[in-house]
Amino acid sequence: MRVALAEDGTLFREGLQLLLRAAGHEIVGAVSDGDSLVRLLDTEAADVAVLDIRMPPEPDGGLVTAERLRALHPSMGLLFLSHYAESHYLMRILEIGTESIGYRLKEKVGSVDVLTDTLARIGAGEIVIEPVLAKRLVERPRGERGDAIATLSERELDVLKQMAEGRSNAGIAQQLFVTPKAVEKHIANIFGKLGLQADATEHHRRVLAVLAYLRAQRTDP
Amino acid sequence: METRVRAAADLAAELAECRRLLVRARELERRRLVTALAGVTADRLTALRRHLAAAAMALSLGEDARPALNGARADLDELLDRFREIARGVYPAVLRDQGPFAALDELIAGLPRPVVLDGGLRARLDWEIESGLYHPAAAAVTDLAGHQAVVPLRVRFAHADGRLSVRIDDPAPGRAAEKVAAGLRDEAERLAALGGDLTVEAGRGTIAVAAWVPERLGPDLAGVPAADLPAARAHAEAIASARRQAVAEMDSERRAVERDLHDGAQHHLVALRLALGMVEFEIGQGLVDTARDRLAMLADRVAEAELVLAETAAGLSPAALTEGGLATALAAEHDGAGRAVEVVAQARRFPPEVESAVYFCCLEAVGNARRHAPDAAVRIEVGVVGGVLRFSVHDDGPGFVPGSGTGGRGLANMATRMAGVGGTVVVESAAGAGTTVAGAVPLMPA
Repeated sequence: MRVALAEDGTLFREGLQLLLRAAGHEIVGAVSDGDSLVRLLDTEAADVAVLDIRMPPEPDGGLVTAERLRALHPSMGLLFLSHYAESHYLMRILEIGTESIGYRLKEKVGSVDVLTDTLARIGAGEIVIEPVLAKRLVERPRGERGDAIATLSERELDVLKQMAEGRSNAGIAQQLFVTPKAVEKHIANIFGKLGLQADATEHHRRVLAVLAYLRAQRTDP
Repeated sequence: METRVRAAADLAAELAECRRLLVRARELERRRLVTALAGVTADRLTALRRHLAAAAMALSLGEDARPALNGARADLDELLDRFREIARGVYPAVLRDQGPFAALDELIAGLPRPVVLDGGLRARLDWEIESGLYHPAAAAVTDLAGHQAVVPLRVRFAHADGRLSVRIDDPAPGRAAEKVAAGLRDEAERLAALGGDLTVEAGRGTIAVAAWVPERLGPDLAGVPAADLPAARAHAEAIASARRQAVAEMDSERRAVERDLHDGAQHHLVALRLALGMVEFEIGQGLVDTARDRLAMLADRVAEAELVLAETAAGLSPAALTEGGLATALAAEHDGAGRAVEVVAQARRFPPEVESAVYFCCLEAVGNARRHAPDAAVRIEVGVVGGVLRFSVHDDGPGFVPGSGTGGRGLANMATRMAGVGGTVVVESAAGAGTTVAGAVPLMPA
């Protein structure tokens, strides 16, 4: 796979290049900030761009750079790396896209096997979420969810799919030719059926609903 | 007229007390951080070094190095988890981006006990207010929901009546209310310094923690006679500005610590983790010589990680001061310094903020003596006389004529530090008679 890398920490950048080469990937470039990555990918083609979330442009250069990359090169996979596995980062990542995208802790890609597996899944169009984060989000709040996805009506499932693609309420309304009010109602029903009570922020419940959906699509997140 | 004068004295005393509380809250926080950093890492770093050495030994004997490498990997993962927890607690990025409600939501997601969070803020507030309430609230929630339990903890945010407040109800507490209150004493002090409050109430088998900060950081002026209002307003603004500054300083310190950890120790350890992955890969490929060289390099990297971690902690508070107090820390600092610095200090402990202020004043004074009188003998004395902590730093150098402009910046730094704990400092010198920096801090009755 052709991989481009942007990370401002020298030790980690060099370490990751060694591992990538060992795993048999071609490194088309390794830079230390988001703007350089965008420039690099103007001329070089890559299958996946690996981005440190916290790098220049500060504070979250990885995220703003990824937004630009997704617009410029829609089919390029994106892998975010961070010291932290946090739902607020994940929410922003899901807004960038839910296909060919991944978010992992830096130390967890520290072996050839895991790195290869992560990149292969992103290359195949999947979404890869750090298991500890996905587990934390899906398990909370506790309760029977089981086949909750199966209890959704066809329309609710349509709305959830659109949510999983990162669309806003207004965007979903436009896509499904309904009013935003109707979308809100469907979303409230989805939250209710998935057992996502009002004990979390709207943002958080959205992430949980999307994760529940994604999990239902696959056996293992 | 007389009441006016008394009111002015009261206001000055109130401002001084407010400053003292703020300095104290900050010092307590520093020490807690240093303790957390040291406690969290020491044992795992030792284990990591042992596993790396065992792996190197196995490789050189032609034995299977993988069990030792697996051990090293587990050590590293655990270290990184602990660092992550500390760094997130110190300065959660989500607090700055999305405010205290979202930050608490993120914190709760990682806790073992279910927590029901509701209420919220109508809008973002001043950073000082948000940060001022978030940290105590986070400490209380972590304390009450940091263990497995079935009954959820209830947390409610509110923004009303000029206050930002959080109420935490524990219908099934695992501990006595007194213990919870004791654990939150520092947080209560911090909130009091900001003009807010934290209380722990015990009901029948329940505990409620209520914490709040005022929306405006100046004291309430209701009831102040009209004639006194201008003075009272100026005073209120002085207190509000002292509070804002204290929160801002504490915040930038927290931010710096988080950045130091993120770019320093965490970065080194994560890079180490990648290198370990390479070693495992090379062994799998039968590249034993390359693997052996890389392992040798890894041991150096561990030492580097330890060094940057020690620097992060030392920047906050010297370990010798936190652990041993003034006498120990001053002696340790000047032990083997080459030229003689004699330390005569009573071996007793003082409030942390006082120890810290006196310690840095003494270092500053010794530094001044070194600059102006490089060959002079220096003597530090610290003792308590009549409820007042007195210290002096004397050198037998050439001295100077007071007012000739040599004291300058160093003296101003010392005066600021001492004022923060309600103390004073003076410099006495005369040509040919050496120089003495002398300070005094009245000690609060315990």
